[in-house]
Amino acid sequence: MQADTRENIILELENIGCLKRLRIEFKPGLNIIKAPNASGKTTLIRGFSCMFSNRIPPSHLLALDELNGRIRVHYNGRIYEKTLRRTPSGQVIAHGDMLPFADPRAFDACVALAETGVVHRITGGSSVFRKYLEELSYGNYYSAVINASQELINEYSRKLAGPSFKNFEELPLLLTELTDLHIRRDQTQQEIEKSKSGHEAELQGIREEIEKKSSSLSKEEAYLSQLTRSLSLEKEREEQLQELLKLTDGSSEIAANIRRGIKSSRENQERIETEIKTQTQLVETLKRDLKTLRDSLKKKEAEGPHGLEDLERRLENIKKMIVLKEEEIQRAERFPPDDAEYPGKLVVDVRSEILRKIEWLDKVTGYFQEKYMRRMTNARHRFNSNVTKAFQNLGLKGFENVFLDQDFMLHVMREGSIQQPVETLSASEKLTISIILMLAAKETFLPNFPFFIVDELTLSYDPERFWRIMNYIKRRVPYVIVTSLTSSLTDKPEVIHKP
Amino acid sequence: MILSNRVNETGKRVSDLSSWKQSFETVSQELEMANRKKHALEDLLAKNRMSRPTYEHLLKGLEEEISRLEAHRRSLAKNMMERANELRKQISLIEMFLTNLELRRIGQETDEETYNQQKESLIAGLEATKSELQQIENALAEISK
Repeated sequence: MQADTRENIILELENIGCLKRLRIEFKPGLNIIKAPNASGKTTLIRGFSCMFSNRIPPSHLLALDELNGRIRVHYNGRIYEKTLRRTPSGQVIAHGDMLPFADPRAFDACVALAETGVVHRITGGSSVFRKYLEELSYGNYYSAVINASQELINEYSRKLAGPSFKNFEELPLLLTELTDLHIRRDQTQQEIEKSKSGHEAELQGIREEIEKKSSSLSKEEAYLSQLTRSLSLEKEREEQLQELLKLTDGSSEIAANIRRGIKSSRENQERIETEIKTQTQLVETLKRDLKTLRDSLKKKEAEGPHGLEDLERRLENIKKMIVLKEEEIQRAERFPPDDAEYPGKLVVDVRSEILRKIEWLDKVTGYFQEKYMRRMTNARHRFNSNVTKAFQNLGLKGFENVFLDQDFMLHVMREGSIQQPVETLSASEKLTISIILMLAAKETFLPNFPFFIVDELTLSYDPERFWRIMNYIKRRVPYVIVTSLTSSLTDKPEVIHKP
Repeated sequence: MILSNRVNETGKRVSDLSSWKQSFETVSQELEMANRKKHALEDLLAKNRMSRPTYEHLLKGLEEEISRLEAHRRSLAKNMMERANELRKQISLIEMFLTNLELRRIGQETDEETYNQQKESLIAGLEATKSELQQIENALAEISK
């Protein structure tokens, strides 16, 4: 709001700090408040500030031994009043009006109290200036949104790192383990089938061998029986020949033939007997072999396939492990029933919802980050431009330029483009730069705010330079208020006006 | 994908396993594993051991993996076909060198020792090349099944 600069402004304070009752008038132009030490100059500034900014807490305003206080401003034909009240618990409450040009940023941009850290600001490094411009350009609203989004993202990310989500993330691994078990199960089943078929083939081989041996045995036994019969016939033949020999004359031709016949029969008998002996041995061998084969068959049939029990036991174990793994998978896909936040819910559903939120928050962060960067860059450029303008207009010797770089680091350039570290500046130079930076901030962000207040910064200051700056400010701001230490005998602040 | 020959402890020439073969075997194994996982997943769904949303989430990941592996195998097959064509050309070339060597021997342009050395080298190269070609053709036949 544009202030009315024609009017005098009356400030009345009651029970504010050490000031019991004070009425003071500010006129357009330079208002110098003169008073000795501890007579209420800073209190006056604080009291006035609370009519356009709520930066100073009410408890810092109300006199310590009072229950009630008042600040009143006559401005543009209207009275603006703020009352302060101490509650029984000791808390100080303020309520009432604010001036029409009140702005929460005004205290930082237009009131150079020693306590606002005006010098500290220039030596405080980039983070101090970033924060300063953030607050004045409302960039802090963007950074608040960005920080809030980031905090939410962090919170969701922490959630996603919780045990149920971790278990869920293990599902692909569990599925791989389950598949490995399936492969082992199938391999073991194949081994069992192979073992059974191998055993069956072995039994079949033995059975075929038994059949073959049985057939051979029958054949060899028949031959043995035939040999036995032949021997018996041969013996009968010899007996018959012996009988015939008895009936013949021993010297006759017939007897000689019979004797030859008997001899031949005996030779045949001997040959057959030898053959029977060999054949008997063969039959016995076959019988033994057959017995061995039958015993072996019986034993192998009773034993079953070699290692089958081990394989079947292994298969059973694998099947049990598969069931356990399936149960593990089943557990991993849900939150436990006693989970505080998502009892029994599917992790995949909650996870996708959280990821969707994170994605959305990322977009929000990105959007506001871009806005923030643009706003801050713009604020810095305008601020630097106003700083440069002030230095040029003031024509202060020794300084070529003072500016903030993109990292919000303050650079002080001496004549000849020589950069001087801020820390090495004299106290007086630091104050000069501080006041010009504040003025630039005011002109950049609160160009219509009608006040610029400087409190007791002249203690260690070059008076000539100070008043040169104040006169410069006076030309740019409707009301300039400066406090100044005096050795006057009066115990109340007095205002000297310089139009 | 260069088939290199080296000499083993017994002095016999052996072929190193070509890089295409290692890649092909790896990708085939991974593909088989991925398909088995898919089957295991379907089994879990059928047994009500897994909900449909979880199944679909895991299936999506698996299908992406299968697609990636199949694409890799297709690209590998293309390289293998190129390699096979290259090997066929190499075989023709070696056979031509062998014929040339025989002609030089008949024409008595080379002594017996040189002839034997060169023939041995060429035959070893020819066998190795034919062997690799056969392996590639087998692998390609496996892919096209």
